[in-house]
Amino acid sequence: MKPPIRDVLAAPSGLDADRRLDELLTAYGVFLRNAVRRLCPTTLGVSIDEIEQDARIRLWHALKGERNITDPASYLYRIAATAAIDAMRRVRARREHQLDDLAGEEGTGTSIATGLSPAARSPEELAADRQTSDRIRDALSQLPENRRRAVGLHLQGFTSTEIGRLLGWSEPKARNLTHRGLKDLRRLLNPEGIDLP
Amino acid sequence: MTCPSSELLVAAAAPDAGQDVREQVADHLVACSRCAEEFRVLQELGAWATDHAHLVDESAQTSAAPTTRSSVWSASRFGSAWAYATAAVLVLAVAALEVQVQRLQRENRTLADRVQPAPTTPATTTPSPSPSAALETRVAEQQQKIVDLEQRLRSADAPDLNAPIIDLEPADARRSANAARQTPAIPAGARSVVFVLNTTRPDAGASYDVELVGPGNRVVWTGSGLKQSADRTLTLVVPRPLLADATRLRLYSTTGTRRSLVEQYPIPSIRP
Repeated sequence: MKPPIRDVLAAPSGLDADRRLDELLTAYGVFLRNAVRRLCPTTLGVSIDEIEQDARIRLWHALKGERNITDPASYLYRIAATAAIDAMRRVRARREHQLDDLAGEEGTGTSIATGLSPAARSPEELAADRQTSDRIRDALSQLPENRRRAVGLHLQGFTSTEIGRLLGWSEPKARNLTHRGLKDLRRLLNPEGIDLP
Repeated sequence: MTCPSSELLVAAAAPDAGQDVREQVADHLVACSRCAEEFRVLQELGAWATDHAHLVDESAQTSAAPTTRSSVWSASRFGSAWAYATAAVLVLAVAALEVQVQRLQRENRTLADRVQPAPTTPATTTPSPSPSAALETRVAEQQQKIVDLEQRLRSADAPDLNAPIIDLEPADARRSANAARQTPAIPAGARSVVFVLNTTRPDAGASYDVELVGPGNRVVWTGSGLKQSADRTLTLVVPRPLLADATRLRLYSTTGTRRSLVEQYPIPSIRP
């Protein structure tokens, strides 16, 4: 009887990395490609083939380092995800570098206060945004730890389900902490003339 | 602000992530919208990956790759038991077909032997017409048809003298008011008949569909675009042969795809 593939992959002794890579890709190659395709945003102009190739190289390095892989699918997903994120970051870094060359050191991140990109705003508006963002950040830091995390993630667009999943909470707990945290935040910001939606 | 590595983000999105990793990443995501965006993609795909990983794992377990080079070689060299079974079935099927073909060939030879003496026996059946005679009959029929058609074509080009003009009243009107009034019969020698259709629904310029209907509501002819004149009549010239099978004439109005019966006229009989 043949041993299951995860035993083969978990036992580096006597098996070379190339053959283990082949076996792993035979069994999980389609899964890896699908994972890369789903992770890779089409808008950034990142090539799926490049990410997949990068993921294969990472996998080969891991196998060559005689790393035991006890859960191949999960491991491949992680490799695909890290390769995709790194590729996205590289593309963003290149773009920001080009924008910095063109527009100086104004920064390119989206404003937490207005949601508009800095390129669309005047220097005065940008300064006002920065002040508002600083005040919100100060107010956030005054909240109890769990409420601060819940509200901060909420302001980044996370739903209560996503917040709960990240922090290991139930959805009602995440919703409750977000609600109370927002109430606290409004109470702190209202005297400064900042209204949260 | 230094963003966490992609490995740390992926680790925090895993269901088995430690609480300290989760909180460390959450604290960063609160302040970094780019990492927050990346992390949300990871979270959304986490469920997909879990489901598919499970399926792929099962598939990989059942069709596990061979473990040693020798087993890889032997599998590719000799094939699986299924391949042997398929080949055996095919061999048997070919053998069975061969037997069947040989049997049919024997039967063929026997039948050929029986048929060969037949020409020597005297013919007892009635003689059938020779192919050339049948062909000549058909040619004569076709020539007659051509002559008839040419005659009809010539007469169609010529003026139609004394074409009868017959006023038709709707069937409803005939029943109610002029029941006693008789519509004249169509002369037998007429090439065509001019029908003047009177209507109880005056609507000058209105366009109608027309149908000539025979027994059992069988449609003999149909047309459209018959227009009502200013004097509330409609005129229709019909070749007499077409009237041989027609008993009624129907007018329809069309609205969009819907067609509704407007009037119905009985067609007079043809005089013998």
